[in-house]
Amino acid sequence: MITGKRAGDLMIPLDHYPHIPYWFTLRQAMAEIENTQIEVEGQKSLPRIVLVFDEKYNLMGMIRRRDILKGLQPDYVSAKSGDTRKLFNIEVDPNLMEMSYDILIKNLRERAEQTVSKIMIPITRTVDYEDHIMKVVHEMVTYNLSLLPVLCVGEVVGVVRSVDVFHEIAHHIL
Amino acid sequence: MKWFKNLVGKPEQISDRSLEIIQIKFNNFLEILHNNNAVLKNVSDMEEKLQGEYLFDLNYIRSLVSEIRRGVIAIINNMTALGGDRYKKLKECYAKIDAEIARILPGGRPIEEDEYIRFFDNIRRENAYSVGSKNAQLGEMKSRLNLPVPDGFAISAWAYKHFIDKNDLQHKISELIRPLNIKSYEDLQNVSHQIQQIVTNAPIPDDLADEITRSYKKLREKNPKARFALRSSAIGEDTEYSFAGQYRSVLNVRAVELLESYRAVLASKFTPQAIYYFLSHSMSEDELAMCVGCIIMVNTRSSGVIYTRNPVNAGDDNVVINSIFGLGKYLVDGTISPDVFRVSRGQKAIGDSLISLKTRKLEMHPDGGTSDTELSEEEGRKPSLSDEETIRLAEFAVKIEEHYGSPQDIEWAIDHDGEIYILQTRPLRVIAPPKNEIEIDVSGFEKLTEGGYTICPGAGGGPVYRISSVNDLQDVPSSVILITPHSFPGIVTVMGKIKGLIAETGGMASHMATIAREYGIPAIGNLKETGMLNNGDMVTLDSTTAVVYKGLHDELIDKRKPDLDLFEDIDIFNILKQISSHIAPLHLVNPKDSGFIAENCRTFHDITRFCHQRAMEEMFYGASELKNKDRFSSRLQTDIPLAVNIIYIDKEIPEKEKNRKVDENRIESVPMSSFWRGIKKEGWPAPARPADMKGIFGVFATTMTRTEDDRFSEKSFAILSDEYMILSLRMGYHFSTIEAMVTEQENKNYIRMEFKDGGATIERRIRRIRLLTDILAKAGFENYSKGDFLDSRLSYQDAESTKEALFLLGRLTVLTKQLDMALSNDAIAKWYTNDFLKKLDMPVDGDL
Repeated sequence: MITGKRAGDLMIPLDHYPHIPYWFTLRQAMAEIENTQIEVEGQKSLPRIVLVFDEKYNLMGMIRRRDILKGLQPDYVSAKSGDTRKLFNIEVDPNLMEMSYDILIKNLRERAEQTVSKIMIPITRTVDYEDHIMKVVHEMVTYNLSLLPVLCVGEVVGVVRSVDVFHEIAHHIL
Repeated sequence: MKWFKNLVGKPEQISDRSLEIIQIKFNNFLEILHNNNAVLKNVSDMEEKLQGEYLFDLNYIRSLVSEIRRGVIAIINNMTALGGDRYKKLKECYAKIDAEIARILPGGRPIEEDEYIRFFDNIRRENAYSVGSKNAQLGEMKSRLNLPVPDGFAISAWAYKHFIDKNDLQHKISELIRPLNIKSYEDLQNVSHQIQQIVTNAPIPDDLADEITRSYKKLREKNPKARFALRSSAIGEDTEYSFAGQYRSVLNVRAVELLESYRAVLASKFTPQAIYYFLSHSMSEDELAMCVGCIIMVNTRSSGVIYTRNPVNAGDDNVVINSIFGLGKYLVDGTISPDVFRVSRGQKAIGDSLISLKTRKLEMHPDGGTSDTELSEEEGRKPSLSDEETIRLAEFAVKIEEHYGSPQDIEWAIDHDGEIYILQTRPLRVIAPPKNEIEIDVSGFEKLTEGGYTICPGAGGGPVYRISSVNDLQDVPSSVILITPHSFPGIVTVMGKIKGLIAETGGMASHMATIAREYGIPAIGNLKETGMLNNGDMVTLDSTTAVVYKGLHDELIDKRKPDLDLFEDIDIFNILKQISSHIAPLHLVNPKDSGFIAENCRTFHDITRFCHQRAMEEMFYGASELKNKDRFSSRLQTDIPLAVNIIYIDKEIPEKEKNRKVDENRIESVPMSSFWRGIKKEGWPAPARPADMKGIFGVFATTMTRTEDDRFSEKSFAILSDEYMILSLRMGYHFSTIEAMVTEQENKNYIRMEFKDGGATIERRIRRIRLLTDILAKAGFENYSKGDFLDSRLSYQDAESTKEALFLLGRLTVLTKQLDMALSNDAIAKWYTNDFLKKLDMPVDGDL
C-alpha cells in the first residue's frame, strides 16, 4: 500500500547527499556531482543537485546541474539580446564557427571559480519526515521541484527526490 | 566588601597577575627550548663521534656528559617551575639514569660510606664500589663459589677517603695534576714524584691505623705461619678499565711494615703510568679511590694467568694457561716468557702446549720481601705444571667464567704442597677475528724477521724506534713501531701514539699485552730476532702473523683493520657507546600514548622530549586560562571577518589603553606573520549576497548540539613574541591551535598544530583529517591522528623552511574551513586532496 510510505521512508539521509558551504566554487560543486554516487535500493545514480549551507550549517539553498551550466556560460554567449557583450548568437549560429575553443575553455574555467552562492537557488519548500508521499508529490508538482529537503523536529535530515517518488509509485502501478 | 576586594585584589590586578604568571611561564618555556636545543646538539655530536670517523678522547666524553647533565637539570628545574609538583618525578628519573652513567664513568661516583675494614668472608661483588673490584671478586669467589681463595681483608675506599681528608691531601694533589701535560713523560714523572712524596709522608689517622693493625693481627692469629701481601684494588680497576699493572702490590709484608706498605700502595695510585692511565681515560683522581687488600701469600711453587678464551682469537675457545715458576710478577711484567698450556674446555684435554725456558724465578724471602733466583737450563725447561694441575686449573677457570658470564683473565698460584689458589679474576678483552678474512698476497714483501706471539692482531707501519728502559719513554716520537726488550709498566704512557709494538720477551699474558689490546695497538711478544731492525727503518708489523716486513705496506695495514669500526674495540669508544645508551635513545615518542609519562623516561633524551612536549602544553593551557584576556589584548585589524585578539608576551602592556589594534601587516611575530600571510593568500570567502540571503531556510542541520554551537562565536586569540606564537583559532565548528617557534637555530624551531572537531558527521570530519594528514605529510610534518583529532608537528627545520610551513598552514586553514561538510565520500575527499596539492604546488600522487 502506497499509503504506508512517508517522506522519511523515501528520503536519502543528509549524510549520504552531497552538500557544500556557500563559498565553495562551481568547480567544487561539479566535483561533488561527478564524484558522488547515490545508491538507492541497489541502483546507483549521480546526484543532480548539491545542497548549500552556511557556516553555521543552516541550509541556504541548492544548486542544480543546469544552474552550474548556467553559471559557466560566458557573458558573450549568454547575455540578453541587445547586450553588447553578446558576441555570438547561438540561436542563429549553433556551430559557433568563429569562437576560439581555447578561449572558451579558459573562460569556462574562470567562471567555474565563482562561488555557488551567486548561482544557487533558495530553498522555498520542504516536507516533514512524517509527511505522506502524496504531500511530497503535491509539493513537487505544484512548485516544479525535483528535490525537497526533509525536516525532522526543525532540522534537515535528508532529501527526497522526484525519481524515488516516481519509482515508488510506479512500483505499485506497473 | 572593600576589605574583600583588598584581600583578593581588584579584577584588573588579578588579570595583570595572571599575565605576569604567563610571562614567567613563557620565560621558563624559552629556557627549556634553549636547553633542549643545547642538549640535542650535544647528543648529535655524540652520535656523530659514534660513527667512528672522528677522533676523541675521554676528556671530550667527560665534558660532553657534564654539558648534557647541566642542560637536562636546567630543563627539569624549568619544567618544575612551569608545571609544579606534577613533574617532580623527573628528578627521580634523572637520578636513576645519571647513576647508570656514573657507573660507566667511574670518576662520577662518590665514595660510599662503609666500614674501614671488611674481611673477604663478608665481601660480595656488589661491594666493588666500596672495596675495589679486585677485593670484591676475591670475596665473591670465596663466599659464593667456594673456590680456594687465600684469606684476607680489604681496606675500603672509605678508609682511603678518611686518610686523604684527614691530611687535607686532595687539594694539594689536584693542584699538582691540573696543569699537567700527560704527553710529557718527564712532567708525569715530576708530578708523580711530588704526589707520592706527599702521600707517603702523610700520617695514617690513628683510628684507621688501629683498625688495620687489629685486623692484621686477627688474620695472623688464624694463620700464624702465613705471610701477607698488600695489593691494590682501586675502584674501577679490573672492570671496563683494566688498569693492568698500574698499581703497586707489596709482597711479604711484616707487621712492622704494614702501615708503611699501606701508604706505599696508596701512593702507587700516582705513579706516572697510573696518572697517565686515569687521565687518558678521563677519570678524575679525586673520585678514584684506592682500596687495598691484605691477603695471605701463597708460598708459591708455580703461578700464572689463565685466559678462559684466547684473547686474540675469539673463535678459539680453548682455555689458555700461562705458567712460570715462583711468584707471578715475572710473568705479568714480561720479564720471562711462560709455559703455555691449552686445554679444550669440552673434553678437558690438554692440547697444544709450549714449554719455555724459564731463566729465573721470584720467591718470598724469609725476612720479608722477595728474592730472585736464577734457574739452570735443566730446571728452566721443566714444565711448571703437571697435567693434573693443568686440568684442575682449567676446571676452575670454566667455573669462574660460567659464574661471571663472560671470558675471564684469572691469576692463580700453586704452593709447594700442590694446592691451587685463585688470586684474582677480571673480565678478559677478546678481540674478534675479521669477519671476512681476506688472503693477502705478501709474496712481493721483503720479510725482515718473524716469530713470537700475537699479543694484539692487526698491522701497523712506521719507523722503528727502540727503547731500553723507562727513561727512554719521554723521547718516543709519534707513529713509530716501538721495540722494547720487555714490558715495563710505564709503557702505557706511549700507547696513545705508537703504530705497533714489539716486545723481545714476554707474551700474551703480560700487563703490557692487556694494555695493547685495550688500545688496539698491533703487537707481538717474545720476538727474539730483532737485531736487523734499526732505529728509523721503515717497516710494517703484521702482528696477526707475527712478521715484520721492510717498508710501508698500506694495503696490508688496511686489510688487517678489524671489521668493526676503527674505534669499535677501543675502550674509549665503548665508554662513549655505553654512555650514549643512557643518553641518546628515544623511547617516549608519541605524546598520545598512555606511556608518555615522566616515570617512563629511560634516557636523558626521553626527559628532554617529555619536557619539551609538556612545556608546550603548559604554555598552551596557561595561555588559554589567562584571565580577562581583553584587558591586555589588541584586536588584529584585518578585512578578514575573523576576530583575533593578540597578546604580546614580550612587550610592555600600555596602561589601560583602549581600542588597541594591531595592523595585520605589522604583526611583530615571525611565525604569526608567516601564518597570516598564508591566510591572506587564500583570502576569506565573501559573505553570501543579501539577495540570496532571502533563500536561507533557518534550519540547523548539523550533528552539533546547541552548546557546541555557542562555541562557534568564541574569539580566536594569539599569544605572541618575536619568535613565538600560539594561536587558538576557532574556524566555524573546528578548533585548531597552532604553536610555533621560528629562530635562527634549527633545533629550537618547531610547529605544532592540533586540529579538532567540525560541523559535519564524524565520517566527513575523519575524511578531512585524512586529507590534512596526506598534505601535511608531503610537507614534512609528522602526524598523529585519532578520529577527528589531528596532532601535526614539524621540527628542526631552518627558519626559512619553518616560515614556509607556517605559510602553508595558513593557506590550508582557509582551504579546509568547513571542508568536512563537502566530504561525503572517499572519492570526493581524494579529489579535494589532489586539487589542493596542485593549488599548493605540491606533488600529486601518481605524478612523476
